[in-house]
Amino acid sequence: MIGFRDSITLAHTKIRSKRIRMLITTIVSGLLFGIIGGGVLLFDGTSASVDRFADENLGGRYLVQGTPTIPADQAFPNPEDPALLKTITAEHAAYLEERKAAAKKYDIDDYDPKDEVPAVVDNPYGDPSIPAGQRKMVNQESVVWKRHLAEVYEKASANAKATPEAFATAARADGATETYQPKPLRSLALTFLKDGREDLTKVVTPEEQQAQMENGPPSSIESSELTLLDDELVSAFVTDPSTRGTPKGIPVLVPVDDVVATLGAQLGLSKRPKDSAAQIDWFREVKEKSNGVTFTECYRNAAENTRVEEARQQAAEIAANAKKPGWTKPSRILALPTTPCGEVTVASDTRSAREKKADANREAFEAQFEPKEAPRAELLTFQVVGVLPSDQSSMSGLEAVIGGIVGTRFGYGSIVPAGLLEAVPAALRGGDLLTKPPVTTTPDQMMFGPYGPDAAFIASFPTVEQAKTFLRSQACPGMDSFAGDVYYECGKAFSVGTYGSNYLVVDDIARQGRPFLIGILAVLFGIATIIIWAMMGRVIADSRRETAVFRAIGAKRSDIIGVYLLYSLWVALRIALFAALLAAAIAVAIEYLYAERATRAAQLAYGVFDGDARFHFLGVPGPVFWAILGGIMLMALVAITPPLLRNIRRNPIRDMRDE
Amino acid sequence: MPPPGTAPPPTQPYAAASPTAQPSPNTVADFLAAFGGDVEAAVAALRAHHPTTGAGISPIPSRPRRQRSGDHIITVTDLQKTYRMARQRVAALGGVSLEIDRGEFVALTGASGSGKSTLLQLIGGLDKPSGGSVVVDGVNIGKLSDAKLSRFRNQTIGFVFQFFYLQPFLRLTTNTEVPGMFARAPRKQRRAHAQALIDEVGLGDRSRHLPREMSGGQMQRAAIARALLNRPPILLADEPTGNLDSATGASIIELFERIRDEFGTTVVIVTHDDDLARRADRTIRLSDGRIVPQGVVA
Repeated sequence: MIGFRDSITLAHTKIRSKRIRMLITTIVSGLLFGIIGGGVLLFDGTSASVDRFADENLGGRYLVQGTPTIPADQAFPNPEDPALLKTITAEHAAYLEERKAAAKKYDIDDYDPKDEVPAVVDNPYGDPSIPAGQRKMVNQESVVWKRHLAEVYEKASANAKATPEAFATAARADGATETYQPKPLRSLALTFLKDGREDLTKVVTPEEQQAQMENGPPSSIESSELTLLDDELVSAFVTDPSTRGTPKGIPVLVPVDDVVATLGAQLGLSKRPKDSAAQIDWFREVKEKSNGVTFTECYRNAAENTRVEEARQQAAEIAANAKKPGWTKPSRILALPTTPCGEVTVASDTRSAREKKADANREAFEAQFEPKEAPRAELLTFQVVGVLPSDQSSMSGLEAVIGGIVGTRFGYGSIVPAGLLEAVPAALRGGDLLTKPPVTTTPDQMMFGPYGPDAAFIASFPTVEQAKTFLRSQACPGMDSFAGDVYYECGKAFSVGTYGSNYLVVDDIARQGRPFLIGILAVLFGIATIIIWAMMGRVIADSRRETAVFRAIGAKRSDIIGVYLLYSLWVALRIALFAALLAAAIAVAIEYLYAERATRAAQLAYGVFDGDARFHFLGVPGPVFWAILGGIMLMALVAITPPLLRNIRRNPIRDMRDE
Repeated sequence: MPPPGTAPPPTQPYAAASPTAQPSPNTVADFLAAFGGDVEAAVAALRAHHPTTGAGISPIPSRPRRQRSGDHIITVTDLQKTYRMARQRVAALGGVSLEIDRGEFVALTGASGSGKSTLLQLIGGLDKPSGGSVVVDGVNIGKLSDAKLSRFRNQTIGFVFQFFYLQPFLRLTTNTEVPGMFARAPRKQRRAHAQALIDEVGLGDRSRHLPREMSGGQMQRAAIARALLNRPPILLADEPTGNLDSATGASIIELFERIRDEFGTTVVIVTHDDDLARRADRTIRLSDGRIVPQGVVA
């Protein structure tokens, strides 16, 4: 068979012929592949950048969040279920009997079962096939229903597979080194005290209430959205303690926009500028000026809030009726607190001994059926120990995209680092209020049992691959996204997703976009294949006489095949080279134009500016890039093979005669 | 040898036959004798020089014909070739038998479609016969496999074509080397031999040139050099002068003669040009796929 060097010599003569056609083929095919390759390079670069930022800002940890799942039939019993209605009706009848007996026991003469909240009510939205009078549903305000739910969830919780222990065991099996359990503190229901003052006499008008509902609280400080979290996970955001002096309250990390929204005027901070470079300076300024700043919030439990409301109503009643002749003041008057977050006091109590006994009996009667905690009011002082990046909803353009990809995610609101909290004197941290928040008894919170719905278990993995392995092992079948808040039910104990950052978002995009990407690749490959195929076919057709001459002067079929395969590889190499250069040019251009801005956006998204991580769009070519280039070579071989095989089978005489 | 491209000096037999007056019956016989009894060649010479009157006829100088040695390098026996054309079988060769001696210079002539090119291609192993046999240097080439046939063409046959078929983007030296590439000949030796052949065909100063930088005659000389690279004992040329002017054509024929003389190469050419055919040792005339016996005007 002809030698390799000689094959190159002869193949090169083919390259030099039909130059215009070759040039067009190279450019068109190269453009198609170049665009694909450029996209792949950008993707690889972005992916590597996300890894770098995740690594730098999460300290090489890859966090996975597991949220306990409760089977839907347990979480949401059907309030129209006839069997349930029957049960509730029977329980309600028994409840009334209990109430009657208790009323007798506590000498409550005016007790009338008809005053009780009914357990079953008409259902205006019920099944229209049922006669109107028979469409019933459970009354979710009834005590019986609450009791029923409590029993159901207690049982479900007792049998729950989604325990912290189960999560930790599963995570460690896949390589987790640590597990954490953040505590959302929504049940605290804190009230922000602007400038440390409280005015309970102010009555909120319905218009003001509507406006508040529509706009929402201006910041997590004012909406008291707090999460107690392990220090390790948020250490990157905590400022140097020496810059703050002695602790002055509960340490808290506040999202940067929340700081400005609530404390901006006090600290002389401006709103977030539009320019990303200016935003970094702004972020630094917010971080610096808010460091160590304190603000106060008031905690009142439900019993205290009831007393506050009673005191306000009494005050309003007294103000409205004081001058009316014959009007008698209540025998027991409550006074609103005179200090911020103070307790409601009894201003006067002129009740007789009999009245007092009757009131005490009534309280005991109610407590028998719905235990009530003692009134509690607690003034809490918070101290800002760091600033968190805000979510990316306030951003736009590239910043929003980058922020969405690499942004920090620690749930909503402000974060109290648990370790720093412990170091604060007990008097400054509201006792055990944050570490042992009150248990709520509202049905929607009860239904998820002790671990939900705000409960989340966190596992820390040293490598992204281990995190992915765990995510897949816990994922529901067909689940293809792990980034963002993932709630998915398929009988698994947990819903899982990434935590801390969207480090798998690129992976997610790749996985979810794969069918689309494969489709695009197939179309572009198809077009390029047709072009190359047509060109190869034409070249081979034009080379029939030459092949015939080669055969006449002694070339074997294998010699011809060797020369033309080499030629096709040569063509493919030129296309691949052009495509690779174009891809690199695209990636370099994007890198040149946007890398600096993307780095700033990523720093803003992470809220850490002192690291070495830089955002690059130009990545080291990965396997997909090389596969594309290899695909071009393979495609060229495939394209030339059929016409070549046909060509070498032809009678050389015929081709020479055609001349 | 005269330098390439120059007309050969007239040789005695043709000069003697040069008619200066109206030919008499005796002079016609003499004239025919000058063409070795080949009536068609004589008539062609007359027509070429004086199509209507025959005036000014000056026959192309010929050369002494060699005696046949009897050492047959090519033996063709009852060779048949049939083509299918539009559901019809067309006999291109209808049972041709001939022998060609080693070192002989043979011209195959005949009208278009007479089968001369087909015969040449069958002898060269470019096509398979429908019947009969071709034995070249003792080998029945009809029984060779494709690979062996390729090797046979590479080593035993040198082909020269009417349109040269040089590689347009290879310089002359490399173009000449191509058969050596298929023979896997050592590059150094191959190149040296190619250069020697280029010198031999008078293109020593053109070895770095591309085909487009050469004239038709030079390209054909280059093609001949290429055909000789593997030192084949047989040179087959299909209308080698068909694309050249008469003077250049004559010089090419002279080159064939020289090759035959210097290398002992058997030369078989297909030509329409009877003047050139007369330069061969022997002319084999074909008509309708058969050999026309000597002395018969087809």
